[in-house]
Amino acid sequence: MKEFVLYTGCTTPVRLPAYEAAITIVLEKLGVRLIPMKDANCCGAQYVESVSHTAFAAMSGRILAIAESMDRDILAVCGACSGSLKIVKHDLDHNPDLRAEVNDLLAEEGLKYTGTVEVKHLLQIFNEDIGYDAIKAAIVKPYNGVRLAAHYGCHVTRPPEIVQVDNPETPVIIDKIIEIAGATPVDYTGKTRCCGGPMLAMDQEVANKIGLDKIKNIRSERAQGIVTACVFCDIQLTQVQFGDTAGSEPKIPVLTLPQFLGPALGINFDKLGIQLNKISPEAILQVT
Amino acid sequence: MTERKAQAALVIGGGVAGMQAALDIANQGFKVYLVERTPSIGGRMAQIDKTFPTLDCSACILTPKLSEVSHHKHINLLTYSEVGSVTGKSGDFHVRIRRKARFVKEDLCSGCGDCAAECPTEVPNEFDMNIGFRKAIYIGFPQATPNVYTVDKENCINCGRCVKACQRNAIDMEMTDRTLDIHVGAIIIATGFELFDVSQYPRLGYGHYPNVIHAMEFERLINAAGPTHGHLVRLSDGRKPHSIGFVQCVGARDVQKGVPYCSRVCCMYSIKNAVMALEHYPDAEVSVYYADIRAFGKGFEEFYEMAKKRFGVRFVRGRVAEVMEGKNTGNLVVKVEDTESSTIRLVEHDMVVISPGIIPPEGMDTLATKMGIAKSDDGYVQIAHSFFGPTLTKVPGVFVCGCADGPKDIPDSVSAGSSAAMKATIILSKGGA
Repeated sequence: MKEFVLYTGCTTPVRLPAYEAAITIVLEKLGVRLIPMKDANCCGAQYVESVSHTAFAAMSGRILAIAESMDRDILAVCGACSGSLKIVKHDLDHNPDLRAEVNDLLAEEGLKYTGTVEVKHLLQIFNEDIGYDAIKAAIVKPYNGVRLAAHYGCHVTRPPEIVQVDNPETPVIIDKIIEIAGATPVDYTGKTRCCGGPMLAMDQEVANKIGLDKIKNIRSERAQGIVTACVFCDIQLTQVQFGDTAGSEPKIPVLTLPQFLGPALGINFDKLGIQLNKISPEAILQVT
Repeated sequence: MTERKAQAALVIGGGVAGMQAALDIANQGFKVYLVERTPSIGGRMAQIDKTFPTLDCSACILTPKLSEVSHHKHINLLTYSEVGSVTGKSGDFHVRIRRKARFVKEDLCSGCGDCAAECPTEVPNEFDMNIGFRKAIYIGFPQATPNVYTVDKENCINCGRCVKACQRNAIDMEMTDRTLDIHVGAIIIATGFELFDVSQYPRLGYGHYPNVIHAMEFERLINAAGPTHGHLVRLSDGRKPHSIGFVQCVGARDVQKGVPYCSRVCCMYSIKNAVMALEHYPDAEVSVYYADIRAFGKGFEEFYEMAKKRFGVRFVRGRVAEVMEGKNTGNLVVKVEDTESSTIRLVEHDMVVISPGIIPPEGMDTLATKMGIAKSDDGYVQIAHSFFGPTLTKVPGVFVCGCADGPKDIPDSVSAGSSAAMKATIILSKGGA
């Protein structure tokens, strides 16, 4: 059984615990075991990154060093975290001065970054470590063609030369998994655009406009649900459907990729935290 | 007189600039070797449908030049050939030319086409920007010069049907590359340009949406000798477009893509193409999305005014942010900020034509190294003096013309070709060095 260190980041355990639960159980079913990371810290994405690149490198560098001490590659489940860890790893591998500076800071608690661990996003685990054939073989209750729109998230696939997850302009991994599980992947305008999530803290009006634009495009393709691979996207695409600007049309359920895949693998809703979803996806998850 | 310096010149590149240079040298009685990488001379101008600002048929004004070059007693035309090594100095260069095997004997082939009619293999035709098809034994276009077929060995299945069909026994499948050593006094580089690869702007949809094409593809679609016999149609469904948007400054004036310079030709060729779209379909709606219109040449501003007033082309000032595709219709929505009214606009078109900027051609690095010539930051050949040496490189005896040293339109390329020819013949007329 393959093993990875699970780095949940800050947002997942607090705001989307069902994602973490669903990942753990779905990957277990597919032969991948996750070991929790103890005493982890924030990756520093965006907020710290915009103030001090060195501090950002130290924060993500510490995560990388902890994983090194555990001698396992990292699974980062959040789009922002996987992006941060990969970018910092790239920086530390190419900038000896920065690496020395970060290692000085890490030395205080006996940690050291040497560059031996890889960082993977959930989509890579599905694509590279498990493989579509194995996923297909594990499907026991396929869906009956339900129309689903995949949303990938900017930091999951960009910058492509560093993160190396999928083609950022025409990503396919989520769509393939949707198809393998018996549902229908639906293409829509602006699929690879930002969800607007990162704007929430600065300008909610703009953030909502971007998010609702996305919902509108998804709705016009008659999709019955949205499948995500990033915590922020999931939260954003859910929250824009509430509130004054949302309009009165029926809400489209937003669910994470493992929550979608789980039922097809025969995992029950409780274990996937389906009841925690703000817009219930139960109607679309009824497998035959 | 046995020690005579070379009384010949080498011109590298058989586009309109190189052809002009070759003719001007040859007409003074000097010998010219004209080396062209592809199977035919003509270059980009041969692919273009109409020229600006006169709307002349490009092929009609170019074809007489093609035959003049091929029939000139002082021009030795070496197509499907590349420059190998260069040694020596001004007045006394020794150049090795690699003549790639075209598997058809140039002196025997009459260009009848019996071979291509028999050939069972069809591949996309590069000359038609891969929209139309050609056979594995082919000429790129009807006026190809020399009118000699070429076997594309990468796609040839070696069935031998063409060999049997050829009544002149011109096809030789055993042909190998040959080298030719020549002695020349001056060298002119006229290697032209390449189009910027617009798929580097994924947000504009080229390569993803079939109805987003680029300007050279548009040229071939409106050309009577093109893959659609001049019918301007959408590539998704073959329908006539009723509304066409032209997107300017793609791969030009963009520091992030390494092309900070203006490509000089895109404004005018797009205005020309917009007019041509309306010549084809007078009821169509045609918009040009531009950063600013650079109509600097003789007759250009008047042409721009004519496009606006007489043809009704709509000019929208704003660089396009994104092109989106309607999933069922194949229609496209252009998102643009109209900077004259400060409004964000979404405009639906059924065809979008992207206007690529131009960049130095592939192989320029290698050629520059072989010649020992310097390149400027943007990758073009560096000229010796901005004012008084527009066709001089930093190496004596080596000259440059056409787009090899920077973007130029046809009239400017021809001027530069003549200018480079003059500089070359000054060396030759002194008996070499």
